[in-house]
Amino acid sequence: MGDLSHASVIRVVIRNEKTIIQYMQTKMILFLCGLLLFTAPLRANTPEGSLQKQMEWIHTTHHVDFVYNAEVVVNQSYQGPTLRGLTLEKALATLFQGTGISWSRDGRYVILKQSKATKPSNKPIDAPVRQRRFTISGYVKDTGGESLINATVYDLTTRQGTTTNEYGFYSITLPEGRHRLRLSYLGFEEHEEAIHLTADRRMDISLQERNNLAEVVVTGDMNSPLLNTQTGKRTFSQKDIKTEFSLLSSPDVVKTVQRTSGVAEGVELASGLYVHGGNNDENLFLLDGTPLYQINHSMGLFSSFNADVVKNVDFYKSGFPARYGGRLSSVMDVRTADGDLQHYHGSYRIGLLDGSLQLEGPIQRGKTSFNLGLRRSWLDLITTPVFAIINRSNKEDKININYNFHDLNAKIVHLFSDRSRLSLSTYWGRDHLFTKGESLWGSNTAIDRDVIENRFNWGNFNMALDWNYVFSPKLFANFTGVYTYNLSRFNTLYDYTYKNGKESTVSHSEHGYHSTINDVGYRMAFDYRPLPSHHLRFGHDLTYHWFRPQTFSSLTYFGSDTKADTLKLQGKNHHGTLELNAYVEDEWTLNDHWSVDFGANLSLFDTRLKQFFRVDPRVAMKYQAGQRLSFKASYTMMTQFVHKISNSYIDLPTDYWVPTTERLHPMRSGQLAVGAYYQPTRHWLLSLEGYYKESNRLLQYANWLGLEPPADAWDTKVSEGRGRFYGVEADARYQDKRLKIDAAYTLSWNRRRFDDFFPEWYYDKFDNRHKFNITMRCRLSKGTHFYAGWIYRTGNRMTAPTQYADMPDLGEGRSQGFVYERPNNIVLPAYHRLDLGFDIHHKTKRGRERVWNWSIYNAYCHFNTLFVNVKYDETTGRIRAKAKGYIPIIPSFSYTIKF
Amino acid sequence: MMKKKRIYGLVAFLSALLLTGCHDRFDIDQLRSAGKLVVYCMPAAGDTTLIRVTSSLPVGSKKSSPPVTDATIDYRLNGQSQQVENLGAGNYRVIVRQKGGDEVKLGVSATGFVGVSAATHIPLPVVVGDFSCEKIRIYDTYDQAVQDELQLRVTFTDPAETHDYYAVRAMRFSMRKEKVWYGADWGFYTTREVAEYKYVSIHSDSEPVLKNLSSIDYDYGFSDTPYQHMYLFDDRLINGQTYTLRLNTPYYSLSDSMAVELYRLTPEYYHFLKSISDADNNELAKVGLAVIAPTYSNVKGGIGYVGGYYRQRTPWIKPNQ
Repeated sequence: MGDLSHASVIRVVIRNEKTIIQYMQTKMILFLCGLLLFTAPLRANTPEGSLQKQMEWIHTTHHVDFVYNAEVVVNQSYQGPTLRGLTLEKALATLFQGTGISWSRDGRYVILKQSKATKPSNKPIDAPVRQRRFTISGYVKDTGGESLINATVYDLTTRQGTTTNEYGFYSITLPEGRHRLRLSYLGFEEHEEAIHLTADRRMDISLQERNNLAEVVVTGDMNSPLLNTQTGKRTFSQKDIKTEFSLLSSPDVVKTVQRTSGVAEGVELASGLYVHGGNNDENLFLLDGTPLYQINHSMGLFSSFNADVVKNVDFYKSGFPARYGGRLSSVMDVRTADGDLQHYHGSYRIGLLDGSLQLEGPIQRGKTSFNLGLRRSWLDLITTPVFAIINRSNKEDKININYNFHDLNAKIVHLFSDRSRLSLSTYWGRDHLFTKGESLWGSNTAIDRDVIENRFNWGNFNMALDWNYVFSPKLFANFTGVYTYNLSRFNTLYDYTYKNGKESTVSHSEHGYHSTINDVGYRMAFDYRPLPSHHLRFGHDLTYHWFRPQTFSSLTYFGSDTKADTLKLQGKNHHGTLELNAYVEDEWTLNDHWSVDFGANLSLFDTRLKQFFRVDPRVAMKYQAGQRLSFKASYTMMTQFVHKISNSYIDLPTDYWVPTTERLHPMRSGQLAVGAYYQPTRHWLLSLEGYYKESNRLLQYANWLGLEPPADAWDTKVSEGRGRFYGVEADARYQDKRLKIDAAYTLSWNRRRFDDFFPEWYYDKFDNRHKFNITMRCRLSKGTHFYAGWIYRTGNRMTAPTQYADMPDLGEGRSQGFVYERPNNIVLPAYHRLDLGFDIHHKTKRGRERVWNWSIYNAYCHFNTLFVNVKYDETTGRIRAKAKGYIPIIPSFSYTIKF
Repeated sequence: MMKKKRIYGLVAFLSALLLTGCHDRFDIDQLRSAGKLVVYCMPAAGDTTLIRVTSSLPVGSKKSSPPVTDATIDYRLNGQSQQVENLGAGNYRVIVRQKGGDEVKLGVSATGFVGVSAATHIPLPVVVGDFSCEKIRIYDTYDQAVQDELQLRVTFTDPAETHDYYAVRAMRFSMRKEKVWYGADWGFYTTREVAEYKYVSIHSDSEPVLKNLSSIDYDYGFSDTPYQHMYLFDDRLINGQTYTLRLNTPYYSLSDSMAVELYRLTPEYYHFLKSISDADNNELAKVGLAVIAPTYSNVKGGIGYVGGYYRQRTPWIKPNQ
């Protein structure tokens, strides 16, 4: 065959239909019973003067490769005229005329197809024998040993492919013989490997990173919406998150996802994520498999995910795979990078409000690596001395404000062997806010001192111990122990002292609150690929939740030196619950056109007083109409057992989480999604998706007072309701070597009904009927990259009064007031904003790369309306309404050095 | 050189333009609607029911909202039409003997307005048992201090088979001295004793069924001030129980007498009062950061409510008696 890397792979393959039950003699037969029927290929010798010989001649002469599957019968004899002197097209037309084989050209590939209607009558030359199959498996990594998630492994010979899982592992089972594998990943150079498969084979591949904007190679990208069975999935690599623009120059995962179609951002800058009409607490955030409850710093200005260490984000808004459960509206599976097994390197960045440091490298070269990411805001380093100077010059009134946040990601990976891999991943994020006001006044004989102090601390600590083991080339297993700790602590202190000579009076009170969640559990996940047409996932996880909302303590004393009242109060709430999930799903490629992904997620939630058992079916199917067009549909049900209790649309540290109680029911939703995906040219990808979602047993805080209800009877302060959410999403993507454009349009309706609140269906606060978002990233020159993003959407809704009327006299006189006739009855003015960003790359003399980033949020300074203030003017007797918006243009910069 | 200067000038001008920003203008026409009849009618066991009929002022309109003095009212008790007396200034009266369980239907029409209708029933009596009043020393969440307060304890029984809605009010009776001015130029005065009945505040954090705010909310100054001292609750926590409400009120004097009014409300009465109290207390909603409760109404085509109630008042007692 000559040089395999250039030779076309040509074999005479003879077909015979035969089921091979022997292949199903594994334990997995329990899950596939009756489904695993496929064709057994047979082998035969190549005759002289055959089509195949002529194809070899064309391959040598015209430098093209033939691609065909096992159905194509190329062992026919060829009796036609000589092909010498003909052009390639004429030669191909002449060669395959009357053979029942149709051909088409795609670059240097000639794709052959067997026409069923004219299948040749040639009988196999040899007696039929069973085709042997072998499995190729391994990891796809970058040159530093970092595993690549969702990389495509595609066999050009049989036109079958797969993707790497969340640990970079792949497995593909192919017929014995020669194959040409293509491995590709966005942003990396494509790699082709010719192999002669005679036994199971381990093949770890390293891909070379591209330094420019990656040109998209959609043909064969199994993770592309065009080819995978999933609806509503978006994948973001680190390059997608670390764009040239970021608010306050700190790249942000949540704000990147907010630009996706079907997602409403809620209140500006607050990092809300309202997916397909769902609430902000209906999103499952997983960081290396552990749930994250608090996903923001600075009340939403920054998300908790440090982009320096994020490797991949899979975001699902419909068609949820069975392995995910526990939230109604979306899943965000964030995976952190492992760390380079070969070389030490990292980066440090200083921005307008925060700085970060990232280090990675081998602990034992090729075996053990570490990856460390640290981020901290540094504004307090300025405010602390500034307030100290101000306070020194003012003896009567002193003030102190100190705010900072940090997060630390650390990961250690150890490779025991090529089959066994252990990693320990931790995350620690914390916000701290401290305010103090002190007043001192009086004379030489009498002094008054007044102190008010507030302290907030909130954040998460997560830990995941992960062990991957490759039981066989087809069976990959992952065992994870998880621990999550979420804390929100708040302390206030008020102290008043009056001193007059020797006498003094004191009034002192301290209040402390804290809400915590401790989750401890394990997950077992199996990834089994018995055949290229089947990808099975099954497993279970068990989590013990220990919620302690609003633990309260108070110390108060009043009095004088001689006599004082002291009072200590303490209160606590706790809910211990056990959550068990089990799932199974199979992604089954039926033929060239049809594939289906079906499974179920079973959940058991035990509150000690009541058990809830739910079965959530998950089904998705795809029809591949051609290489450039596919259609999909999915139906999924989701159940949620935990709730965030809050009275506001912003993420406050006082919010707390609680489990479903015996008085309530778990929230449930069912979602139908359909979509069409079209790739008109190599550079364009278009998609159109529609969804209809119904949610039941939604919870809404029913008192509308303060920040939150008291935790001791929270379930009596909420009302249950329903939601109907539907819409259409159109996405377009263009990408070439210099330019990348993403455009997304959403037309949606979000409606809710809570009978205790309002006895009709009403529109949700974030019922943004139209949302259009376009982003452009381009390379202006070798070192200058530019970003522009524009968003336009229908404004949020708000409840405004429509009438001014008499109020009833219940014995204390008459009054007048506003009447609010319908919830969310007005639409605020349209929201629109332009963001701009530049990255300027430069190499230092030492060969280090430095990056200046300049970002401008809201570039044309449109004060988008936050709310409308409605007032009654007593003098004119008229009611006035004024739009209020406060967020101006926000320029920022950062400086990064990579080493 | 000139060209360069012009470019710099243009850049500076554009930058200045950007920084000026632009605000949205809200179109108040979104809120424009027609004026509606506002009807309040709270029938109770007894013989007199007052009906108040006014009109609303729609947002965006200029006209005033006078009481509706020419309303035609159809008041039906258990299906029987009753005579309605026009007292003037938008007030109407029905005199008919009513009792718990009776059904009341109301239709109101007036020139220039769409006719409205509503229905309710009069709740069954609520059985009030023991009542006591005691001076206690306790930490007060509102004032954040240990202080003297009066604790009123009233016991009642909630029926198990129904979902019931209540309101409770605390009353203080005191005798105070009032100046009475006389003389040619009102230059002299004398004093006289005046009896004063007042509804007083209840510290709702002291009673679990009334507690709607968490301690953090109190720290941040959020309040749950009820409309005209009607402290609302339902029986979700106490269904079917004989329950004692512990109502802490400010302490003034041991000589003042105290009483408690317990109302059993129809759902429409409860939902109306709750909605206006919640809207008034929700500070976050006023700046668009939380949901604001819509004003409940069971008056079809109009505003207000027709809601029955049954009231029981305890005897007047002095603290520690």
